[in-house]
Amino acid sequence: MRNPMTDAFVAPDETGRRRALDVSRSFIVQAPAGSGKTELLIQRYLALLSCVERPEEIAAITFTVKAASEMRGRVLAALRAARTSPRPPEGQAARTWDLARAALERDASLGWKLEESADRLKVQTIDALCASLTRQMPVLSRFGGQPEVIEDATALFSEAARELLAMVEEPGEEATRVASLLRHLDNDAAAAEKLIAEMLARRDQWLRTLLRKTDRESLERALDDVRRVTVEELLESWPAQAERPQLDMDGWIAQSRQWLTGDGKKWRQRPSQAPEGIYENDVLLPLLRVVKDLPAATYSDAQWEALDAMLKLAPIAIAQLQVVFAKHGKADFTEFALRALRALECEEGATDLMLVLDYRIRHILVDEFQDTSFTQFKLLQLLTSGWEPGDGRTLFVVGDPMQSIYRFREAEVGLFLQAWERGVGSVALEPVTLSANFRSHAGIVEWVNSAFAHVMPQAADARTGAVKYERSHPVRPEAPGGVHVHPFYDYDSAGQARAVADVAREAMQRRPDGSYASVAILVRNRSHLFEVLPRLREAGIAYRAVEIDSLGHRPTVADLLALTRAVSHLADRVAWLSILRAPWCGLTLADLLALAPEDQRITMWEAIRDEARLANLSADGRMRLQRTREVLARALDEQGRRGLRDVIERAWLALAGPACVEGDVELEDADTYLDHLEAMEQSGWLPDLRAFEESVTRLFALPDLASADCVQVMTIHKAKGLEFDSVIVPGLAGQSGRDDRSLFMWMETADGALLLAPIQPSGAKPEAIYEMIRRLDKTKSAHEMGRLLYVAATRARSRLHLMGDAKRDSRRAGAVQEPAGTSLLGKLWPAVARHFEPGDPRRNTRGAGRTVPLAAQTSLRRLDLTRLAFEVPAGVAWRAPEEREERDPIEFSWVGDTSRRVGSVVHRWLQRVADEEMRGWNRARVERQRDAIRASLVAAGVIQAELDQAAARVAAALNGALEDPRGKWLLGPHPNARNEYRLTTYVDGARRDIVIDRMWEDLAEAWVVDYKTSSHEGAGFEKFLDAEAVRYRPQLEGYAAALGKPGARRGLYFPLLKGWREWGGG
Amino acid sequence: MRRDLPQMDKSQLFERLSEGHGAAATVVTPNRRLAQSLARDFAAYQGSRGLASWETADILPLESWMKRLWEEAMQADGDGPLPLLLSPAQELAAWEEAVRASRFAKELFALGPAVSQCREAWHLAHAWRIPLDARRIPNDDGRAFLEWAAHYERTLRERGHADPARTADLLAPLLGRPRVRRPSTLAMVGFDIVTPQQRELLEKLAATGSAVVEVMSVPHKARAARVALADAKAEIDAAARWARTRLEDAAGSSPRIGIVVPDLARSRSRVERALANVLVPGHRIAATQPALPFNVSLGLPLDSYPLVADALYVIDLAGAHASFEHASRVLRSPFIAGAHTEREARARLDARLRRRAMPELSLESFVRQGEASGNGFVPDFIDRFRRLAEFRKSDLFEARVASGWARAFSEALRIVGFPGERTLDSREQQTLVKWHEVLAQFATLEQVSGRMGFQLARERLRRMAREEIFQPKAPDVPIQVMGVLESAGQEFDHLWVMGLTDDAWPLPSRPNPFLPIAAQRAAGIAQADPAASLELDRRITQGWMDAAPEVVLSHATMRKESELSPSPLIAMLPAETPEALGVRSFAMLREAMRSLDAVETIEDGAGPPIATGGTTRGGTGLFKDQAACPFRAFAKRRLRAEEIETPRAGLDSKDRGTLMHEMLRAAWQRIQTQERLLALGESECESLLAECAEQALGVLRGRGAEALSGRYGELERARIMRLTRAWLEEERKRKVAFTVVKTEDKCEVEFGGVKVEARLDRKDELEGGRLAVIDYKTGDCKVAAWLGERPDEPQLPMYALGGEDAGRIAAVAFAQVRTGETRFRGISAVGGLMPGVCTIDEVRSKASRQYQNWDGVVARWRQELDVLGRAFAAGEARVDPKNLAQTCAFCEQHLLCRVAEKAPFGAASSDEDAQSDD
Ligand code: SF4
Repeated sequence: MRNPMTDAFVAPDETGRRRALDVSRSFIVQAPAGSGKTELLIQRYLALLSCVERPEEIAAITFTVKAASEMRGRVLAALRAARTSPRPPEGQAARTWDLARAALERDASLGWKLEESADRLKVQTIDALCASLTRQMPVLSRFGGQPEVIEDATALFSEAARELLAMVEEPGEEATRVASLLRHLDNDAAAAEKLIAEMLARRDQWLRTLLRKTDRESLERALDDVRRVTVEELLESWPAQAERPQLDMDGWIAQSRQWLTGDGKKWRQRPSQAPEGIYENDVLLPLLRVVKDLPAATYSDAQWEALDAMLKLAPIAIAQLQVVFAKHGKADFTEFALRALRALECEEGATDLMLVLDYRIRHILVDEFQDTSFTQFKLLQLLTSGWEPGDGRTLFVVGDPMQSIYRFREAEVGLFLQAWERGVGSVALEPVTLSANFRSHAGIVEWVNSAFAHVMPQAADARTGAVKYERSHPVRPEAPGGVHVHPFYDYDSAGQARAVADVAREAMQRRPDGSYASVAILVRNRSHLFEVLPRLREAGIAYRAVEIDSLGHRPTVADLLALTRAVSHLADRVAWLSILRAPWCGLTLADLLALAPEDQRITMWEAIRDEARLANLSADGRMRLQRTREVLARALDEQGRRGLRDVIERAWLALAGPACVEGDVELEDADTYLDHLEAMEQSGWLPDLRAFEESVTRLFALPDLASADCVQVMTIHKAKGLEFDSVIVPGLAGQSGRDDRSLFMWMETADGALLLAPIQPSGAKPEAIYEMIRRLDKTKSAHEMGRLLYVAATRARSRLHLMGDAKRDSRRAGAVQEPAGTSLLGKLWPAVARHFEPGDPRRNTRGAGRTVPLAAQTSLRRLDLTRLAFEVPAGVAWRAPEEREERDPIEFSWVGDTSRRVGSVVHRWLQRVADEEMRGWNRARVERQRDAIRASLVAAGVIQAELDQAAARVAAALNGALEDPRGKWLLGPHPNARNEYRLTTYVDGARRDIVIDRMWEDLAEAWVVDYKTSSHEGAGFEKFLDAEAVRYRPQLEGYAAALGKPGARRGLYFPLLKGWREWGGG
Repeated sequence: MRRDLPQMDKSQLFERLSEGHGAAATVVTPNRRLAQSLARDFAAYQGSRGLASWETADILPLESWMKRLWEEAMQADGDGPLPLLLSPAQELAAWEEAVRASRFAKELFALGPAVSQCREAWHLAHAWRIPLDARRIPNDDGRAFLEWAAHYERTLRERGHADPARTADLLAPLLGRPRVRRPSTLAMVGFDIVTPQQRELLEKLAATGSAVVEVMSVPHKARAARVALADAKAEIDAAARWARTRLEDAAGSSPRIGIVVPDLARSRSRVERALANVLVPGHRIAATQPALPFNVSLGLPLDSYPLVADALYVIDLAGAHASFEHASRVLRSPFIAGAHTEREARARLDARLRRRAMPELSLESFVRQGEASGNGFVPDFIDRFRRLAEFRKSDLFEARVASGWARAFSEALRIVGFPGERTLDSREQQTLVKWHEVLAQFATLEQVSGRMGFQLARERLRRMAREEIFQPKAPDVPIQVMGVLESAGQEFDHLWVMGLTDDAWPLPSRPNPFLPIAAQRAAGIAQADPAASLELDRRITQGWMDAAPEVVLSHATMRKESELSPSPLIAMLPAETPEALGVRSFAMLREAMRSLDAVETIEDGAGPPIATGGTTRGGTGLFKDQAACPFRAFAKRRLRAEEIETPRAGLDSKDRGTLMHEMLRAAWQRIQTQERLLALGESECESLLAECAEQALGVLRGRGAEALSGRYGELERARIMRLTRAWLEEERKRKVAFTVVKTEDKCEVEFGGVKVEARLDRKDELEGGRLAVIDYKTGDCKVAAWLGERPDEPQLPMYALGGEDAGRIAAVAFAQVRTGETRFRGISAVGGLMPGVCTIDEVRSKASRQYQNWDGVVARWRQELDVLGRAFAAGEARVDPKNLAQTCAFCEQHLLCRVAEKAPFGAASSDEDAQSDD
């Protein structure tokens, strides 16, 4: 096959590609699907390498970790190829080779050793960049220590929201504001919590906006301006010949409401019909509609009170969030970005990174620029602040605004358009448009060209995120396949599912050489697969669903969750009953009923251990229960001794959980669940079971193992950047089903003024300001939908199947109705309408919700205990050391430490006295050492409050020894004496180091002595010493043995008590 | 750095050490692990000479050796006692004081790690002789650090303490003191780096006559193999199988097998699990825990041990507000007294408290609520926590020095009976000892910090516990798993180093942010300079290759979706497979179980029928559940399955509903007739509403609704008054005059053999003698909920059919009382009785088309209710939700009914599209 990347081939956009490699200029490149932009990025990167002093001066920013590693890998591969392979004859590959060659030479002359220190290639995601910036600027970023990144911070947002709401009970102004907010939301704390949490999650978007002036007056002025401008626009289009009423703004609003229907889509008929010349005027209709929906010029007092409370609470909520982040030592990516911004901003503009990083960032490359967020854009502005054309620093941004689909992750396609027009910060960008499509064959490219010219808006508009379609030029010639539209009618999701299966099967069987063509099923929402997946399974088509199945829906995971809940809380009755019903135990309903106490206060665990109750069970049930009970008893006992994951996994294994799974993939699911459990548990427990359970539903089952002959199933978002031979897009008529409201909405007007509106009070009608701003949001969404469709359509190399469902109207002879504009099909309608034919609408089969019949409604899956016997695989044979329980009695108080510390100081000083054979030692000298003794005590950790007493004890011990005749004898000169004598020996087979306080040996006898600083008050002194002798006997025997002198005499000396015990010898 | 020191090899070293103490040789290592491993090697050496005991060789980490010298010097007679050399905890506390005193303290997100980094910067600056000159510090972070450092130094000076960063410098002049034991030979083992500061000390030592030598290991002539594996999991698994293969092949002799894992901190548990599963597959189901032949040399933060975590939670709770979940953990902790004796009772109390508690609470309110709900069955708990509350009042508020706090904390723990009645196992014993040590260390902070309040004291203690990396002692075993640092200088029979991908090795540079990078690089600090890092890591890699006769270096080729390349430092080795190295596969427990064919499927769709006669508990809700899903009714009503709740702020919707009901009841008890309502003056009405609200709130408070105590309660009061006001407006509008004859009614009804109690919110007698029964609703309501099969809201129909005066009832209505939506909705026998209530033929819905008239409605009700009753009575428990997605979405029985098994593609799909369009 011809390979356009290597063959002598001149791409239609060759001049642009060549120009984009000019390392002295900055560019913005629009690179549509299939245009080979990664290769261009690599080439640019290589070109830059040969002109920088250090490789770190180039910062390449990618959208995903995967893209970063891919790009770095390709740069390294290019370098390697230039070193080891001959130059390809021509084409892009030859150009890459040449550039890599030049980079290698640079590397060699400057000694970078790039191939060995790949880390020096700064190719990373924006998140990683922010993390590394904040790491180097702990104070400027105000991070101090770097928190751990948390991808799903939902729980923390909620926690912060709760903290905010809790302020209602505290004194101070904030409480009043929280109260206003609560009142506005019908005092519904749960709803308020949710709204605030969502607001916090999206703080990246509004934080900067809200820092601006938000007093009532200026906000209302902006409101008034919008009204004026809107009415002016209407008047400008007013037909000259028609009479124009003289009205003020409110008058116009009232008038338009009279003339148009409630939804504003049509002119009203008589009697409130608009005058001749205006009526049914298609130009005026949309303008009037906008006027009709205009808000009042001022906020109502209630609105303002709520808005004002929100505005004032917002920074407090942010502060709460940071406290929560700090408490958990975690933060989301947004926090990193905001902190990086903060660190980079300073009075003079931007912090000089040279001083921080020790190198200057001179060139920046940004991939997927169309999905940049406001914060990221701002970050780029700061990183390039002060750059001037021709100063050797360049910015190179690449992206495809037609593929900007990450609005829900704060992507703002308008920024691309803005950069295209005005550059980024001080850097002007030269536009380059790529148009070659190396991916799809001509049939598809041409179809996409003609369809999307209609799907996408006619003119670009940064404010509404409207992106104009740019045509692609196919490089691959027309081939069999192309675009197929499959029409369906009247909610025929079953028919569609069947068609998907049929098409998929056929697509996979195409290739004659035995290899399989790649096939993907792409959907907008996971729910669109509800009926497709069972159908595929039924048809025996292997598929690999990427992040489709929620883990919470897998039976094995549900069972593990029940086990986790039961072990975590004895009173969680549902969970306890569940684990008894789960396959590993499998109690029948009758047995469960016999077991479960009427009195809810009695826990199931108590019931399970109640033999009298067990007697009511069937014999089989009893057996099952007993087996389960043992395992549970162990699990409960292990709590606090092992990690929760460990406890649960052990119990699951002991119950023969793996024998209950239906497919191998469920074992992987179990692993995913257990790993998640381990990540969430804190010191052996789950701090919030509910939150944990929710987090499990947000996990995805691992895709079934990949094999060549399987269909890939994923969302369109996931498919971005991928390509397949055949692509099937079912469920085009589906809706996204999201219509959430946020606490407040805002927008900037064309001249930069700020519009802000609070959510309407709970239970109230939508309010005009809020709705007006919300419409903008909806417009943005609608534009994005068109782009989503573009992404889906351009994944296909050879075949594209589009499936959608339209409604036929029984009243109008089965005419096909235009699908909703909020569905993909609605977007695509102009291009596909002709495929849908009118006909007799069948009965609406949708009924109440989706109806997929449940299987096995009355059956119970469980282990057959008689078939459970198996051999536990043998472990490795090895010689385990004997475990010795070493149990010194523990004093359950840290205070006990002081006497231990006194003991060690006494030992040290006695050692010295003995070393010096008592020469010159007396009470006076001990007294002179007072400060030194105190210093050693403090160094040993004795606290101030006990220092005097401790020092007195040390002195008493030393004096005792010095003045006691026994002490004098002991510490005085002896032949072959040793102090603190260290030996290594074996005790019960284990190697131990021992320290003998004092020993000596003359011709007659050897002595082994240990000092004990025990004290004793009152009577029974001798008894005490006897007891101590018994206690320490084994220790001294050990010493004698280690010395190899079983005949040595043993002595215990008590300097504080002037006591002495000796034995042995002879 | 390859140094100019004289060298000796290991056998020469051991020969010297075997001469005993007389030879005065000291061996220093960069870390404890290596010191231990050398001691073990030396023991083997001595053993081979036939010795059973010998004079202990003096082998210790360099740091410990310096500390020992300092302690010796303290005893020596010099010019007065030496200053206190700060312990690591004290040192950190001194830095923390410095940072806290600065203008940044309030703003910093995480103080603790910043403090550690300061300390590190300070040590680096001293170790590598980086001048801390304000003019050379170019950036703001560096300047902040200088400010803190100045504060730190000043405090040390003022308090007369010695700086641990300068131990080596301070020791140099002390080397000559009489008690200071200078070794005649100082042997250095395993130092990949010697800092200039260390070097100076060693030179000083050499100048005083000690011989300083470097011990070189003789490289094993190893053939290093590179193994590439699919992902980290496969890599760990291969290493585990390799270790088992080698251990088995050694047949009885105990080889030393090393596994080096660079990111051990993160993958620790995975590695542990894989090794355990491969080496002793049955270990997790064995009756007694078998010994495992491997040991991971990495501790965990002390506060992650449950014993310590719980102690800290007790302290939190004792001194301040705690979240309910933390209080709940304390309540159910195994580490307080009575944990076993009162285990079930405490769980029960906890479940009860959860229903109405707030997410945050104080010790006092915890005790108060506990007394209210649990007195009697958890006496020990109540007693102890009451005493703790008293102790808190008397002893936990005043600021004091650290040792004072340590004492108070100990006392608090003593009061609750920490560490509990369960016998501690040996790991717990050691953990407890460590905890005491940390508490003792915390007490010594009094040397560097002054008095502090409870919050700060608790925070510091917690941080100390977190920063204390602790690992219970483990027996000597053949397989050692370690990080890169610990592997330095060790020798093995077999060594496997994993995780060597190009992004992980050489280590990416991570310069300390507080020192100028250029200065760090110039000083030669590897972590600050890619080139130096590459050199160092190349040396370490070579060290591994020399460390054993067999060396395997491995890396993964994929991580998540990204492809990975081998580290350039090992890429030149040809890739091999584990199989080529003779690594075997072993049977695993999970797979053995998985291959069992032991699953049976039986019919079990019904329980035994209910006992006949008598009333069944559950009221009309039972029929509602039965209609929604027979299994749910069985689980909830017969098994009485309920989950535990999570305290949330404010009232939940159930309590809010109750509150509204109580309010309206109180109102109609007073007003009674429409006539009176219409006659009610405005102020009269207001005071009536206020009275009613108070009564309603009182009812809820009486049930322990904590949320209603403060301002939230006031808001709620205002809300119910507002709503009631609006509602009365609706009632005023009614055209047919009425008298409220019942503001609550109960009656027994029976359908399909199930007798339950039906409750009614209200009954009106309309002008003309007809009756209307009314159900207050604070949520959504639709007439359709009464129609068709399996009616969603059977309550009113049940009452209408079975209640007193059933024959006179001519209208059933929901009274929807919610903000913005106050109206009646219902059906009646004839039109025009009440606003929003119409005859069935006026109801426009698909379901209503099945009915002719009121009598038809009533007859069908009976029929449907009988069907439901009969099914319930028969014990039916089909997993048959009326509408899969909606019915199951908020059903708490979803684990018990096993719906996941029956609807594999998402029964509860409500969450599905939560991630926007993703
Ligand atoms: S989750 Fe669904 S199927 Fe299970 S009991 Fe509840 S309603 Fe029935």
